[in-house]
Amino acid sequence: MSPQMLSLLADATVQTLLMVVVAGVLATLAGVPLGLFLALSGAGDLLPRPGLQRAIGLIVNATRSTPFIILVVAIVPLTRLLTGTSIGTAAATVPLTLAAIPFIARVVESAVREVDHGLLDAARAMGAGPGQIVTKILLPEARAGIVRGLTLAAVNLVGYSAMVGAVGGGGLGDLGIRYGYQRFMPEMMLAVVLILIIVVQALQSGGEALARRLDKRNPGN
Amino acid sequence: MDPIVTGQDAPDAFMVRLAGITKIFHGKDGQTVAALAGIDLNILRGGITAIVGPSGAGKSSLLRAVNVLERPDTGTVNVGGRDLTSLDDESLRRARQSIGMIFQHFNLLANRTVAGNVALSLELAGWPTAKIGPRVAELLNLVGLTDKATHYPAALSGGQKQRVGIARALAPNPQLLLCDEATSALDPETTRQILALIRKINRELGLTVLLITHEMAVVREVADQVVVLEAGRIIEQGPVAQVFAHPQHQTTRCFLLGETGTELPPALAARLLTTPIADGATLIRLHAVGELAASPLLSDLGAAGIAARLIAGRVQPLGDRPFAGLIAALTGNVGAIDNAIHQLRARGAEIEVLGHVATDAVTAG
Ligand SMILES: Nc1ncnc2c1ncn2[C@@H]1O[C@H](COP(=O)(O)OP(=O)(O)OP(=O)(O)O)[C@@H](O)[C@H]1O
Ligand SMILES: [Mg+2]
Repeated sequence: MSPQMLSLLADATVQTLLMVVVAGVLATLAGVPLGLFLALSGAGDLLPRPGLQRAIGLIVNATRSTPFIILVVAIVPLTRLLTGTSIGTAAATVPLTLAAIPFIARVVESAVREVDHGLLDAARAMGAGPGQIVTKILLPEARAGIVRGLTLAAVNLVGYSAMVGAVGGGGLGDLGIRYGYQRFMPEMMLAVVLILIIVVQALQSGGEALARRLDKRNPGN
Repeated sequence: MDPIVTGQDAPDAFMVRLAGITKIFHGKDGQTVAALAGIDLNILRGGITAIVGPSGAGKSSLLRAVNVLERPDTGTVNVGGRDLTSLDDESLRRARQSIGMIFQHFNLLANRTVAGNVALSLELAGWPTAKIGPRVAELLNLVGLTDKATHYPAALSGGQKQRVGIARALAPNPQLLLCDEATSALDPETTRQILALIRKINRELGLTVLLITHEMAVVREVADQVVVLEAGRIIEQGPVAQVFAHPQHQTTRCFLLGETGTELPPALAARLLTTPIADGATLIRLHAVGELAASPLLSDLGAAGIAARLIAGRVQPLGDRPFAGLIAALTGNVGAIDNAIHQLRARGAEIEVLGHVATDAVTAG
């Protein structure tokens, strides 16, 4: 493989990682509070707002069930508004973030709902208010589940980032399509796929290792 | 003095005063359950009061009404002289910090160490960080877990977990400790140790304890007072010795049978007759406390010309007194038996005539 191609690969890898990291961080900032709200606002929950919860749940589901490639096209005006363009890495980050928010919200919701209800009783009996219950009980006890969910979200983002490549988003997907497919360079295609596999593997095992370290539910951890 | 008084006199003597408490739960299918159907109950300061009753009687609902974890539909909850039902959320939260609670399944945070779990109640109560460390150490010492401070709950036995629960509940210096089936998930030996710890806390710290159990053994071991609940109502209450020796209500009696070892063997129950037969035996169930339980009851019967065969029974400590429960088959002159029963009752024994069987039913085997 020529040095020129290697440098193309390196640039594309950096672009992909940048998209995943930026979209992942932004989506976490929005998705975690949203997930907490979904987990806490049902009828009979800590801060019941069942109407709003149902409405937000609907939006979350609608976003999740829209095929990603359609979402990318559908929100082009929003992407233009936010980044001034509809192609390139920065532009691709917008649909990636938007797709990851509802996913993260749902995984956070389920991790928080899995916290033993008895702990809420204990906390309330100790005089904890809703804010303290969230920060001292729910988030710390759900942290391993949340990390596992975020790992899954990051892995999904790698896949989606390759997809936005197909519509001019840059990154490894873009490279694979333009060189590997359109110019028929199988070694480029292979290299792209290998790098994607390595990135996903690294995310998966890194996330799992972190989740394990944070999870004290089993003896020996 | 009768320590549980359901009146308005001497209000200062009571740690908890519940008046007119009702709580109705609405099930999903539209049916309703009256978990508490009008509870009036005063709990004396400094004692250990046990609430017993069958499953679904409303025990947990009653306990959760005391710290208003479950808000009653009607009635007032007064703890330490304050009406908790009238407080706003913030004041109620602060009031709860002087009421400790421990649970059947411990409810510890899996992701905090033992010390961290004990510290939690202090953090929630807004203690300054500098004071939390020493207080946690003090509590871990009290419950005997100093060497486990940095362990996580997953590495502890059930008894140790409950000790952490107790330390956590006691850390902010509560006046009242609520225990919801705190020993039901533990084996008998561990149960005994935890009960001993609760009694020690009660004596040494003067803490008022209100505990729920479905085991009469727990009541016998640790409680001063007992309240029997059935279908959301108090059906019987009083000092433990009195209720054990002279249960007034059928439900209480049933509850006591297993504990006193005076369940009639099924083989005999099947042959039980309601009317006396010639040369038959009369089966009686007898409960006695204290001096009477320690007296030579059987030889007293013998002196009256009655042969008494033991069918089942047990003598065990009730507080610091012996408590005897037994089933005996009496044979002899019918008049003499009647007379003996009459005399034993006059001496304070609780006697139930179960019925009559042919003599071979109690001599065979
Ligand atoms: N949150 C709830 N929603 C609906 N019904 C409830 C709820 N909590 C309790 N109940 C009902 O109220 C009644 C009393 O329940 P409670 O838990 O107080 O009984 P208990 O005496 O503690 O029983 P157990 O010994 O089984 O713990 C039961 O019939 C129960 O099904
Ligand atoms: Mg219960």
